[in-house]
Amino acid sequence: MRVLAVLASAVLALLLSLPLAALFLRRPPAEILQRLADPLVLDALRLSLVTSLAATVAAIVLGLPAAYLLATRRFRGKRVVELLVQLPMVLPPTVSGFALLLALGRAGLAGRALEAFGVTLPFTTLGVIVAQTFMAVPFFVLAARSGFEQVDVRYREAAATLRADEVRTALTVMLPLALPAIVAGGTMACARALGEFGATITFAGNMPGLTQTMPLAVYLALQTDLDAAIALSVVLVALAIGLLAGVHAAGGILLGARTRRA
Amino acid sequence: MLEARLAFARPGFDLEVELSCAAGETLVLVGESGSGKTTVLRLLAGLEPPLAGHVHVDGAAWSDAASGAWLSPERRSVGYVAQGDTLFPHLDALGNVAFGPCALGISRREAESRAHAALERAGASAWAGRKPHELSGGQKQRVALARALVLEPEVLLLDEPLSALDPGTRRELRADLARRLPALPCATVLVTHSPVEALALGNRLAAIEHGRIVQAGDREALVLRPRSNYVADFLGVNLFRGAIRREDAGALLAAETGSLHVVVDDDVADGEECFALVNPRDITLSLLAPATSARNVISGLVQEIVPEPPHGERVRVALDGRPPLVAEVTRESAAELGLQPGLRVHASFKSSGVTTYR
Repeated sequence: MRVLAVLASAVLALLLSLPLAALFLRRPPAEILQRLADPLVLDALRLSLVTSLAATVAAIVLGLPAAYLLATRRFRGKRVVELLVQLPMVLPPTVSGFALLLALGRAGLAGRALEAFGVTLPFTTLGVIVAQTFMAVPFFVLAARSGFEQVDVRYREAAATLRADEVRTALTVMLPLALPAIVAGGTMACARALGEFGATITFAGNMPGLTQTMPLAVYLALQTDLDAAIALSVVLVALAIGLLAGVHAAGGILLGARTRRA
Repeated sequence: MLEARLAFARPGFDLEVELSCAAGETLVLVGESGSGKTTVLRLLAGLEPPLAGHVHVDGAAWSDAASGAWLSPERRSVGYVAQGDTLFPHLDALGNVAFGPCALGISRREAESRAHAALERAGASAWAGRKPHELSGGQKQRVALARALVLEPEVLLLDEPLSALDPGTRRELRADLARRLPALPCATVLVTHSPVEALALGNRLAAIEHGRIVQAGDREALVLRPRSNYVADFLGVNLFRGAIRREDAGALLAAETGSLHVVVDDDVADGEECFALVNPRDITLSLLAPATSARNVISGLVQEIVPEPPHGERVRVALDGRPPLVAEVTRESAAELGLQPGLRVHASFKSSGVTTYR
């Protein structure tokens, strides 16, 4: 049994690492660095950073209250809300993008109303942000909610007996104590937004400089310019690793400060 | 003045308690874990919704099922030191104590100066800048007390404030509390399962068992005339209850577990239910049936021998006779008798040594 377990793990490690190695070893590093100056790459990089950061902020602003309420309240229809919040994680991204189009497109359910306010979402940078937020927000809510849930209820009660109303308790007790989870959730959401492909291309299209984020640029370059695709991919992998390391470091630092000597 | 009638129920547990506590007074609720002590405090603080009853403080209704009045916890003038460590881990001691004043909208400066003063009074000002994880159990408890008192609450609730501490710190803090509590202007309700704490800290005591107060009164009444097995256990005395049967020379109290010769007042009627209290120190143990004038001689097997704190100079000996008894003898006499579990001994005590009361 142990041999089989080790074998399976070895195969898994290979499966996970081989593609990365292939990506990094295909061209000499100098050549990859050179391609980074390519306008195609730079445009996509700039757009990706702007949109995924905006989507992260949107996910936090919209997701924090929901995460708090889901963690602290019982209400009718809570199950439905939970399902709704989790759905984007399991939907095929292209379906999500298509649904967004039907809802917020020019002829869509709410599209006309938006149009009346002069807001156009499909095939705009704003649309990219909406698609990324749609896809990323579940990751944030999930992490933040569990962060709030893990705060010992006795701290909330202590705050109440110290004359703090719920809003004050949420802001001055719950938020700081759930911060590691919130930071981790925000980082996960950012990573998800950065890598978002299907919903973005379906809802916002693939226009260089406007809606062509890095994953889209990789896909396009794959068919025309393999070296550019490699350079873009390497940058994405580096960013992803950076974010993942960030999650771990943030969790470690924040948690460590709290539990050291506990 | 705190006056409360509390009714509460959750599956497998229900509680119905009436209590009152004047300003400046300390009411100690004693009971085993699961008896409902903590629930009483939570109901008073508004952390648990009552089934019925009321909580009135100086005439104001904090909750009243009859009128529907209800103040949420943050609108009650209450200081609550919950069991265990509930200091906010992300704030230092000063921040913890200043939390309440800040929540009331007092400016940060003023809040911190009040917090400093409260820490000072609790003997905790030296640790103002430390986070809870940098504090020892006793230090945390002092900060928690400062936090609960900083707003000068009308009602102070203390849930096992000393239970998590090591013996030395516990003694020190207990002495501090015994000095401080009587000087506080608030009504204090303290919960404990420790007899020593209860007797050291309370003006009045109430013993709670299965969600009911089984005996309440001032300390002396409780010590001299316990009326429940729980209180007797906690005082370490033998308590029996049964009907009095008058005889030619004295009287017999027939408890469920055995009979005792007692002396009763003339006005106690034949067949009346009475309590009989036997102090373990008044019991003499011997190996052979004693040649004594003591009316009560009960033989039984030694079940357990436990040294008495603090130094074990005396030992408590549990006997499984009819009725079962606990005797207390010196360590020397226990050694002389060669006491050990399983040994048959005779316990003797005079009928006049049994305190009998209705």
